[in-house]
Amino acid sequence: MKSKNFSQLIRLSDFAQIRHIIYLRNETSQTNFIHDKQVSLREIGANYMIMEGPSECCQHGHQVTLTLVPNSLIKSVKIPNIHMNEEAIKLVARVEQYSLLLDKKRATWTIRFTQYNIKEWNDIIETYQNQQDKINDLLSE
Amino acid sequence: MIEPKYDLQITPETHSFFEYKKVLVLDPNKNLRSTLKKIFFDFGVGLSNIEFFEGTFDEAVERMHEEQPEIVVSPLSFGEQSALEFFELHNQILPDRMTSAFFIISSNNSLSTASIALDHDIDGYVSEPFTKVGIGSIILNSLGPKISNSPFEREKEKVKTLVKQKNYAEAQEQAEQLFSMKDAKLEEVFYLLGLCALQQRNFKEALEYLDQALQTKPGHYKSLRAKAEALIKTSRWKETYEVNKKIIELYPLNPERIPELIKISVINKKYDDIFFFYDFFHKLEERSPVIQKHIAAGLALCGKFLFENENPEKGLEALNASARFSDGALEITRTIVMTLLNHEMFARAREILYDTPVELESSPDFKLIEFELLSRSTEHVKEALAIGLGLIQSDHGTFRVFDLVIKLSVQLKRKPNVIEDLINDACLKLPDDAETFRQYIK
Repeated sequence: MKSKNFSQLIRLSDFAQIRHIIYLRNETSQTNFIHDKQVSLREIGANYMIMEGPSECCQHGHQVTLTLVPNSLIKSVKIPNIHMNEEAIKLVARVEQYSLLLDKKRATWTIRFTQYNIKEWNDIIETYQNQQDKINDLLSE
Repeated sequence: MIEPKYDLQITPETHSFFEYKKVLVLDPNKNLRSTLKKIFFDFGVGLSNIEFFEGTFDEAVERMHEEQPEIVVSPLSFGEQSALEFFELHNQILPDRMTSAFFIISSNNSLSTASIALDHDIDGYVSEPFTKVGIGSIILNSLGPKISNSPFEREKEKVKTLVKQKNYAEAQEQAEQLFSMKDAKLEEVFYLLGLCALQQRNFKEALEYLDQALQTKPGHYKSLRAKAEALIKTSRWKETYEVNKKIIELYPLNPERIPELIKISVINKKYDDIFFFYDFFHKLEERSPVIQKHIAAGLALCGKFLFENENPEKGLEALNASARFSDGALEITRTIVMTLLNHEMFARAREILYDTPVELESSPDFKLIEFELLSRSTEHVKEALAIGLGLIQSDHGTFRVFDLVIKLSVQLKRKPNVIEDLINDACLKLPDDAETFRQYIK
């Protein structure tokens, strides 16, 4: 320990975020959206997610297909092709609730899944919960 | 794993803690409202006491003053401002933290960013995406000691409030009484006593208490941080470095601390660290605005050091990168401009200064840098003098400003009585430096 410097002790992994890159195909409007940092997941539940992103992505009642890829894979997968990646998770869903944010350029949607692999989705929930557990442990200090 | 069912254990104590509380959620996201509303309602908060705020930062500040909500949920960044500004305000409005709480909600789920909450004693950090059960558990678990109204926690909070109010003698007296409490956590008591001593600049005593806290609970975060602070204040740099190594080894690095750690590395001549930090900034994939600001400050320090010592080329590269990341933060701009000016790189310094967002150009901090810059160029001495005089008139006349304005006045051969008036004004405004200024008359 004594011989080490800060440089040998700082962990780059502490700065890493757990995220998923989302590829969204709007089946109703026949348009595709792929956003790395512009689309984010805000809440997840057993069969739904609440997403935030550019307001033009989708509207209430639209049918969408979502492809989720963990950000840890983005180095090895070219972004335009992520929906074809073997580790990508696909979900078919319907937009249930849509609301514009204050700046009117962004919106949030509640998206309810209609066809999905329950195990795959639960693994995603677990990944995020594990990260939150680590944060809780840190703050309980 | 299946998402756990939403069946949080809500006890009568939970209900009574939340029953008459007001909740302010500073997040305009309408879709999250139903989740947060349900959670707080289930905990016991009346529906009419849960407010979801949409508006500007200033409006939110006004709302907090008006409503005085005991519980605040804030995003990590609110436009240009940080949640920490709301947290400070919340602390001022409601200093009794036993009955109030502050939560940060953020899409950044890195441990390093979450450690900001640890450093500022914030009740909870909710990372997105969260689940209903997840957010409910965070609120309940983090408020556990407040909800159970533990006598030790209650008395401990009183001591912390006294410290915040700078009533150190009473804080110390009350902290000593905590030792006899049934559920006392000794490391916390030693830490509080150390804190009281530290705030009163009794560094020797502070270090003794903090060492006792660390003997009771090795790795106690707050004690390690306070010990590092006490060592910095007594210029014990080698030991400061060692304590910070311990902190880094045990906890994720709070990005806010990067500039401070770089300074400590520079003072301890740990050159490997400087190169490490330089590379580290380039390796980071996720650069949230919060991290970016600290990276810019860190790069400016790395750049300054490398530029003046080991590797000027790499130093200049770091200074340029810092200017790009800083987004016009004037403190960082100042470090870069001064470093470049000290090496007679006037043109580059000027370029960086005038790259600052226009809205900051009338601020006194900007004028102070501009004054330094222009005073170094023979072509712009008159402009520099005008800016310096403006700073004095607007009550921003530091020693440096007066000193330079007097020298420029001599250089520009202003009338002797004008210079004498200036010197008298300097003596009046800065009486501690009067002797130095009077030397100019001689």
